[in-house]
Amino acid sequence: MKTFVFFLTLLASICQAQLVDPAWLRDPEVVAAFQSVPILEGGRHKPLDTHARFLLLRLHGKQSMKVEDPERPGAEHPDLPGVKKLSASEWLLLSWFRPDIARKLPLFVVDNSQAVGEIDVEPKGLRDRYSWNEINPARKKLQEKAEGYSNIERNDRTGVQSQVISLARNFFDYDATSDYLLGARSDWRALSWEVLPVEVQSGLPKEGAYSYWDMASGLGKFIREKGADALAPGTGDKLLTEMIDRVVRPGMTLAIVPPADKANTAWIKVGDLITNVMREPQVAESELAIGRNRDAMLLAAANGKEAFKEAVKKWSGEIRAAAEGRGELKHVDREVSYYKRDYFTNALVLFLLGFLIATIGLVAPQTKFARIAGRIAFVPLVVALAYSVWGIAERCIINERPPVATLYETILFITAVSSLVALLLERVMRNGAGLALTGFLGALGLFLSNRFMALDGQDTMPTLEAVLITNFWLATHVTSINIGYAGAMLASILSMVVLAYRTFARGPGAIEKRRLLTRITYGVVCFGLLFSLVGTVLGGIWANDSWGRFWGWDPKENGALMIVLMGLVILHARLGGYIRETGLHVLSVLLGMITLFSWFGVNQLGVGLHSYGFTDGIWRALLISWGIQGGFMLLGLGHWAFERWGKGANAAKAPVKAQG
Amino acid sequence: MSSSSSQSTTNPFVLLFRFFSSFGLAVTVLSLLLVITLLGTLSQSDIGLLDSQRKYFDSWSVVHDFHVGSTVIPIWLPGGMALMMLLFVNMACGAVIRMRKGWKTIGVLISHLSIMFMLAAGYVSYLFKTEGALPLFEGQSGDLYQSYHDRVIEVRKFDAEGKGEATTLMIPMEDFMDLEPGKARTFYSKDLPFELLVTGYQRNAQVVPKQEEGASVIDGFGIQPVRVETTDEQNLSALVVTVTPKDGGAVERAILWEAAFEPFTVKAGKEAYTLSLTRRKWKLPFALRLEDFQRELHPGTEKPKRYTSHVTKIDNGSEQPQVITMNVPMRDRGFVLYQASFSQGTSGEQSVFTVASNPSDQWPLWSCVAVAFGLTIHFVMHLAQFLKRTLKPKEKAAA
Amino acid sequence: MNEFHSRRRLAVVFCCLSVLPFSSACKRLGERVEITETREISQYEAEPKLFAYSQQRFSNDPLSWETPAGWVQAERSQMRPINLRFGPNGEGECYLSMLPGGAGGTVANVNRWRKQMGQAELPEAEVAALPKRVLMGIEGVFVTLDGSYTNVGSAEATADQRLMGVIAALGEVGLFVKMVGPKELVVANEPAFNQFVESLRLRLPQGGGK
Repeated sequence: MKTFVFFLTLLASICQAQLVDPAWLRDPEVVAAFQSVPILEGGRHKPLDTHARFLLLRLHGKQSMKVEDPERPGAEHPDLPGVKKLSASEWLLLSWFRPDIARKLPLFVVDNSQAVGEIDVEPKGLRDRYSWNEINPARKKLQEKAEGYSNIERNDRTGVQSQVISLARNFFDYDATSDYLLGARSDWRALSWEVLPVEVQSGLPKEGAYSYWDMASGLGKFIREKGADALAPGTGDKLLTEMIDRVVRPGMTLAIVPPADKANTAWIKVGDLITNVMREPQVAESELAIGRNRDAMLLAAANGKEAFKEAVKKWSGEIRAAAEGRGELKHVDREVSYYKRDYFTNALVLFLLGFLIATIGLVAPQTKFARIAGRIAFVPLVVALAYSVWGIAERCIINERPPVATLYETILFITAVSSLVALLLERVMRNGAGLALTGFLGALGLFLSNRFMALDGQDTMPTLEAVLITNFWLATHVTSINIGYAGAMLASILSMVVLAYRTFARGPGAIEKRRLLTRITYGVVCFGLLFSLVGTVLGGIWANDSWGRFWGWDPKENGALMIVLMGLVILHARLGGYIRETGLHVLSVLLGMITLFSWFGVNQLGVGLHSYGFTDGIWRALLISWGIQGGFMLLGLGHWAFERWGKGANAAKAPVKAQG
Repeated sequence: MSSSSSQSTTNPFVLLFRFFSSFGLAVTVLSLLLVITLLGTLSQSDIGLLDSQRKYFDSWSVVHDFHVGSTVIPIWLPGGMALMMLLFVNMACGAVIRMRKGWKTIGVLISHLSIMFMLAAGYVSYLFKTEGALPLFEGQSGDLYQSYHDRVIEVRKFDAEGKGEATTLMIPMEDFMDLEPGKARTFYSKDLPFELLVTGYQRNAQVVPKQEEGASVIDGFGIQPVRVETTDEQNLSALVVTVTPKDGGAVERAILWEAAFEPFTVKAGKEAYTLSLTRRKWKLPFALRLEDFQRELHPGTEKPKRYTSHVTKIDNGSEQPQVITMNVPMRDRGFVLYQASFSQGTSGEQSVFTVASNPSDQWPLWSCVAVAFGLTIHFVMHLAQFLKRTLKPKEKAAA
Repeated sequence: MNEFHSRRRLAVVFCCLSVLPFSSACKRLGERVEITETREISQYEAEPKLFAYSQQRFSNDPLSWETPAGWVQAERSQMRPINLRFGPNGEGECYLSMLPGGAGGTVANVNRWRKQMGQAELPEAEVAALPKRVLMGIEGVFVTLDGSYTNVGSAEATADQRLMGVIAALGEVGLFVKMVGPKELVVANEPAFNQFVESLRLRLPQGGGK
């Protein structure tokens, strides 16, 4: 009889786990309740949604996940009917509540199939995604290999070795994440009853399931009173191993419990909470409730969807209330909506649309058709710019600081500034070229910002180094130097446009247009020079104020100086008559190359700040850009040579003095 | 830029002036400065910041090795110092003396004068600036800051009771850093009863016990050169000094090492003299006592959010509490004290301050304001002109 | 023309100015150079130790001590970080040893030494009454024992010996200085022992200089 009851409980507990219908996890109310749960991560209070997004981005290379039948591409996944795509939060919930399904999904992105070959997993495509189930059989080998490679100096590792290390990190992080509710899903009677001391048993129900919270509290009391030695031999080890594997390890993935003690700034992880329950006679009720109610969500699923929903809302509400009481809920909801509105993707699409319409208009310049196209293109471009500015503003509010403090933010900011300036230039050009340029710059910049985020795979709103926490200098020096970068980039792209235009368009009209564009380019170079110069000097003044030297020839400073020097060279060479149209454009393209070097290149010169793969990706992008720019410079030199040649040929009769 | 004297002339002064005030010189110097900056930046990952600064930026000329495949092509280039001097002269001649003055060029004039002022500030700071570290444990007081890079040999006299004199003689690094093994130089002073022959300077070395006898082994120890670190602060230099008494007494030899625990002592009659190789030290006109060092972290991480030192300034017996924190240094009598770093050890928390004394400390700030002002005037004037020209006729046409 | 002349003068001035830094930059270094620079000593500077010998100056040993005149160094080991010998044939030995965890506390160690000298164990109260002695800045007990000495690991005892030593505890670490030898020799070397014990210290780099 007793065994029968035991069997029933076991069955019940297994069934409970199966009872969360994956469809419930995509219910908007459920998702919204989870997304807005505050957590503490990387020194900052943020929504669970952000955690899910960047975890998925790091593991998967994207912030959402496509779902299809692995056997029949394009068809529905048998376990997830009606689902084409999972958002990051939906994926996290599936991993918590239905790991059996989530672990089948192709999650881990591996850039080079050799990395999985190393651990004896059957490789798929060269760059492909693997599920937890596919990697799991090799977990031991993966760990051994990764540990071995970790002993190699970071700069000496091969690409494949680095990928094995990051795959191991990703796999074990996800392993713990997908076990987040394993403690609640486990049958603790089967695991522990036999070895528990009588004193602990008497505090637990004689029949039916009991939670590890009750068990831990009884066991903690027993150990505190009688010492760990009073446990039967082997008991302590066995219980400890189970607790660590099922509760502590998965529980360490998130700091989700706001401490009841207001003086304590570090939020508690469920793994710490259970340790506290065992170690201390009294654990704050509010903290314990969050731990217990986390498991209650899973158990409530047995009573149907509505009960589940209620439990989810209760848990989320408790954490939010506790955070609010501490004054730490601040911008969590704003951040959820920031990501939901997806300002920069929307802006990207609109920039692209505006670019296409404006380009169509350029096919037949100076016609009515072109004017109408220009007017139409103007609308999406202005909306796109508004989106960009709005998104940047939201980030400022969430971070409580000026717009630029990280490399990712420089891309957003420079894109917004340069496309805004390009839009203003249209007022001077009045032929649609400014519009096309605006769309092109905006779309390109935002596309690159997206790629950069994917390469980096980290929260784009990190806490800052101590010395950077100064709103005055972030607002003045960083902002003006980035406006300078924007000017320099815009000038170099304008020059590339002119050089290309020159290759295809001829005739007196074209020459006049080119002249105008050249003057505009020159103006933009001056604009960039003004801001880079002031920004660079401001940086020196900041450095002098913060660590006592105005100028230290450090790579980042030198990078900024190089932009200023190049700007000055262009300015003086033109004033001195050494360069005219073509020369200006060639040097302005060079200015763009130098700007890219200062913007991204110098950061990669130092060692050990970023992972190998990341640096690798940046260098590749830089080399490609330099290659393209170099090509344009050659084109410019070609024009120049042609000019000379042409002149030389024409001037056979009347020699013209070379102008110095 | 064209002036009344643009006719051909053979007057060498005119030609020289024309050369120094030309746009050609400006473009050449700026371009070379750009190249030097690029090379100096790239070289930092190999030779470190200090050496690249000395080689490329503080120098009159530099020979850069260009690597093309496996062949090395050495190219001579003017150094940063020479280029900046030339730039200064060029600006003075071209933009200040030669340029027509008027409302139209006022912006240009202001910005060139302020850039010249900034270069002058850099040169003054290069000549007269002192900068060093002042580390203090909680409760400890100090009024000395020691250079990060500058080494000196200190010679200090002690009387028969072992009481040291209030001043010490110093041999600056420039006088002995070239004395690699095989080169030697004698140092003397009327205040010293002996002469010092210095040789065998190593920029980074270990002093290790040596069993074998030999010329390089002194009292069981010898200098062992180590690869020079790219961060110069980590280098520990060493040298050999030979002490020859003026009265013809016995000659002594000793190793001096930056990391030695104690100085070498020379006995001369009843008095004694200590010799040591150390970082150059400067004295503040006041002392500082560290009362409390606080480190604030981002919650739940080990990432610092703010370092703060609560100190007491001891000035002629009067004590005054002060706070030094990130981005908020303490200034007094031309000295500026910054919160630089900290260390945690067995003896408690140690806060490290950077102390700087720079006569041209605030010059760049004034110059920056002026240059921004000047350039803004100039560019805005041009922009207005440009817009007027470009927009007007079209508007007329459109109307 | 006047304007031209003033310009020319200015140009000359600037050309001269530009040469000025070049000329000042090179300082000729001859064979002999006079020492001219001085620096004021600060009251906060640690006073150096005069007449330090090379071992003290260069060894990165965390321990510093003076080897008394007539004593010689023997091979050092993990168990004996300082190991000294004295006497005509090196019959006397004196060494420092350190044991983590204090190896049972002061009482146990005093009695361990008593046992080695063939003497009965002392009760705790009597150990507490032993004379005090400072070792490396820590107060310890001073022990003098006469008798037949049985060294660790040796089967036979040597008669007519004297053991003189200090036992102190630095946190968890037990510190011992032990001198053993023929009684007369040990008595004669007591001043040297005192000198050694007083000179013994842990070297912590003092602020500044390093």
